[in-house]
Amino acid sequence: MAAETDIGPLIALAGSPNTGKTTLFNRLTGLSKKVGNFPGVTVARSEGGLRLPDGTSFRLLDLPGAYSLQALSPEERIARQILRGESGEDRPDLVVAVVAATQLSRNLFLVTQLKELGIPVVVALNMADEARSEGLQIRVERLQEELGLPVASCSARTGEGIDELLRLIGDRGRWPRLPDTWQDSEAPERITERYRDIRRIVGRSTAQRHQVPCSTVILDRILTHAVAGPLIFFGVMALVFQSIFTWSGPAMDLITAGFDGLSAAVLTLLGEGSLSDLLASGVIAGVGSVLVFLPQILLLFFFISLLEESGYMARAAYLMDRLMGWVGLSGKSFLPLMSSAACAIPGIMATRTIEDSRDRLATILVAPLITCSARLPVYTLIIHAFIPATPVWGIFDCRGLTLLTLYLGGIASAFTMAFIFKRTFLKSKGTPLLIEMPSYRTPHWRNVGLELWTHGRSFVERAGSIILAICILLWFLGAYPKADPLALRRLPPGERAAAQIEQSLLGGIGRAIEPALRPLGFDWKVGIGVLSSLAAREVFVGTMGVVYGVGKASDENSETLREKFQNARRPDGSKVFTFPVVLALLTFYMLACQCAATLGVVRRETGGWKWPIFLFAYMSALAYAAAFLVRTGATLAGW
Amino acid sequence: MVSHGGVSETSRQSAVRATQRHLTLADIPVGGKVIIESLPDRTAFGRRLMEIGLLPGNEATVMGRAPLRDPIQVCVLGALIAIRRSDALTVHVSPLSNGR
Repeated sequence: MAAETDIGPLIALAGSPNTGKTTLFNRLTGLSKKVGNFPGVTVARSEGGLRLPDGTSFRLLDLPGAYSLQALSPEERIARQILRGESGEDRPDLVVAVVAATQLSRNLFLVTQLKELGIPVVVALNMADEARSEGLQIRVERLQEELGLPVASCSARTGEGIDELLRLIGDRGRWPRLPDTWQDSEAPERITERYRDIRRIVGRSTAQRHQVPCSTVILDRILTHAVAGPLIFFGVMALVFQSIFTWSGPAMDLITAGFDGLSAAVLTLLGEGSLSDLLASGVIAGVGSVLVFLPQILLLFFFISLLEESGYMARAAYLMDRLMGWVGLSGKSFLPLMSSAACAIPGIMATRTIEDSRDRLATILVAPLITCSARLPVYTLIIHAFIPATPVWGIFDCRGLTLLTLYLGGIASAFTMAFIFKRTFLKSKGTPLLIEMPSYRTPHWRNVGLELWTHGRSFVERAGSIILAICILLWFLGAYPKADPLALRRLPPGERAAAQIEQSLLGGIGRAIEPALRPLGFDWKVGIGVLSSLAAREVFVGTMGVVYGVGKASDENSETLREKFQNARRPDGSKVFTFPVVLALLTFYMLACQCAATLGVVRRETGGWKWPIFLFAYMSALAYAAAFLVRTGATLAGW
Repeated sequence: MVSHGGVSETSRQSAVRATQRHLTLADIPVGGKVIIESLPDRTAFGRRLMEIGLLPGNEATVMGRAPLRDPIQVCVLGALIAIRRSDALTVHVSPLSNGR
């Protein structure tokens, strides 16, 4: 199917936010969807192929959502430029205007503008099923007549009416010929005029006026209640994080067992030797230690897309706007920051919905402080090794609460830095806020599934590329130069691997940076972990597995690695991981910017190296300083 | 925005008269229904409010307030929109009903 996406006339899918445009796009293009960026700007672009039953092919372009072609946001600007043929891309041959039947008047506003561009327009009257269940009846023929455009009533969710839409798209003879009467700036009187037309059109095609569904009004009374709302919100967040921690357990055990078995099989098959060691301890152990937290990533993306699909995410922005206002941001920064709890990369990409460029930059700069899922394996390893599972209030335990504290710490530091940035070099006047709150609906499982698939796949690809490369490099650095085999043989078997590491290049590098990390209480082994996780923080776990010579796949649940951690001693016999050092390590990982991919995305989104370098510098300094303070404080307190 | 009545009028009285003359969306209690009178239609944001249906002559209902009374949730043309109190202060309205 991929080849078909490159040929045929170009159709642009245009519509206001919350019209189900992306669901329709997914429905029409299926798996031929290709994602990328519009050239020169940072607005996400998806294109796919559409093949009609009669064999004709079209290219389908999903335009960014827009309330109006009088653009306020970069997204709306792109949508207009493409439709006007000013973007350097092909000008669309046909516009499919997506309109929610449940929001007819408001969504027709954009359609009245689309009609003036001189491009044929076909209307997809989406969410027909929802309109029906709300008791809304729209006479499609009348609407068609009044609008002067072909209209297909359909539902992207259920698939009803899609055939009719395809028929309209395929019938080139019936594409309406529309004159180009577009004017670049619009007086307020013109808006009023458009709405006067809309009132007439809607009045003649439906007898009812759209109302907010009762269920939404009732739910909002509870979920956005001034007192109950925030309480429910924090309860939801706590449950999400606790479930990520507990539900992922069985799946993670299964993956661990799988990689352990693979590792053992390789060793038996190839026997002792450099190659089997590279495969078993380098490749399989390294990649396995990262892949093991795929269940957690999937769970997190599952919850986030659930919150988004159900309409609750917009309520969260509404509830949080005032709070975000204290640090100088708006409720719109909430979603990007919340997504950063899964991964800073989609979070930073989600800042594209923020109109104010200074707000947007501030959000980008603090998003990596929010605890992302890549920190989870590091946290899990350390928490399981050093924090007891003492139950608290029945449903929680000390480990879960430590994790919650780390998440809250990430949030607090992000807010603090946002406050500082917004008070200094990113000062801006309060920008107006506009949040549309869609009706609550049951999530569309296809969309949730597609979301999980996209993110799961990109995570596995990352594990297969950058993380694999680091694992192999680390293995070489740790395996060479070889320690004296005779000296090794004199050691007990359990200490041989560690002795080899000490002799190796990796050990040398670790010891070279040890003085710099001594104020934090990290020894050279932890130093290697920190260094190796500069590119991706989850590598820490795999590295520790290699450094501590856990001969098989190590992961954060690995009993042996945990035990080795607990029993690790300094040359003078004292424990490496005293409580203050554990706290310092957690603090360091909470704040440090150890993710090459994030820096890459920031470079792309800000159009240069200035901001990624700044981001890396300030986060490293912050992590170092905070870890030092925590360790000193905890030591002084006698913990 | 408001012409002062007399020289002797205190600023407080003038403020009271101002609110009487220009009831804004921010003054409406939850459940209150209003007709939009005017809004700053020369600003980009004012135009955006009009584009999403909050335009003079249309009905709007205040549906709720977020914690700390800000932002406010408004129902217009069957859609729920949240705007900040500071922006709602620029939307002049006349009441249809006083809510529950």
